[in-house]
Amino acid sequence: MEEFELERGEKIILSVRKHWLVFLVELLPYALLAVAPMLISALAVWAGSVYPSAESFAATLTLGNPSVRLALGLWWLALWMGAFHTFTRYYLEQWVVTTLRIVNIRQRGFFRREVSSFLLERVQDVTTTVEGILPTLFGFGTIRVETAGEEAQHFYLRGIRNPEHMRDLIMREIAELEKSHGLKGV
Amino acid sequence: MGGRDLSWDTTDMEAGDTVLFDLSSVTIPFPASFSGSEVFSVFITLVFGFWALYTLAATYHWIRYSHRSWIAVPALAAHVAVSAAIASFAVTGLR
Repeated sequence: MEEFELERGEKIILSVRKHWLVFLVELLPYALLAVAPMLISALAVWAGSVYPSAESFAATLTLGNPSVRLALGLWWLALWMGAFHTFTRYYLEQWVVTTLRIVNIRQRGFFRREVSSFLLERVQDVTTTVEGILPTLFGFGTIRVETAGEEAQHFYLRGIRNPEHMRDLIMREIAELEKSHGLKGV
Repeated sequence: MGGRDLSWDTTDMEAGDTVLFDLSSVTIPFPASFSGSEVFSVFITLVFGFWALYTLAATYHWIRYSHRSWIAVPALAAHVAVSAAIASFAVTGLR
């Protein structure tokens, strides 16, 4: 992986992204905004039928009007770029569990990428939360990982698919790590 | 390039008025007016330029950070195709 170098003997166990439903929810505002001009046009037609003075204006709000097509096209182009940006962020963000650490890769925007590593040997507590109808039905939730130390840190993995599996995987790797450290100490 | 004569009509001047600057000999190279098609062309060029910059940045991120994922090329191709379709819809009927 380009974002970080694996230590000697370190292997990638699991690499996950957010659940696809979480991504679709993030796309929803763009879809609603794309449809909004149609509602405005329908509203103008209704207003034209009720108020005769607005009829001529309402008659111009059709797809046959080149200016309307241009404005609508520019609006949709802006929304499409925003939606594609959302997809880019969704796909380029991921969590990686290796035999030694958990790596949190966040794409906050263009030219702004955060990579955080949390050593497994410092992990003290792993908690999963699946809350709500959709998360329960589709099997995604949040994992909270707390690390030990004077300045205890915790970080969240939100929208993870099958968080229980990931939690069990992390705990298993921690146990393997403790076992290998124990054997080395003998 | 055409210019404007900036001398002014002094018939409205009243007694006691002082001329501070006489610009009658100055010619500023300023177009008399912009045509609608010129303004539109500049606007469309700016929009396309912004879109091109955005697409370049997106392509850079997909190539660098997707870890050679198979989805990178189809995603970028879809972005260009959808953008072209929307742009084609937008300029249809314009003269």
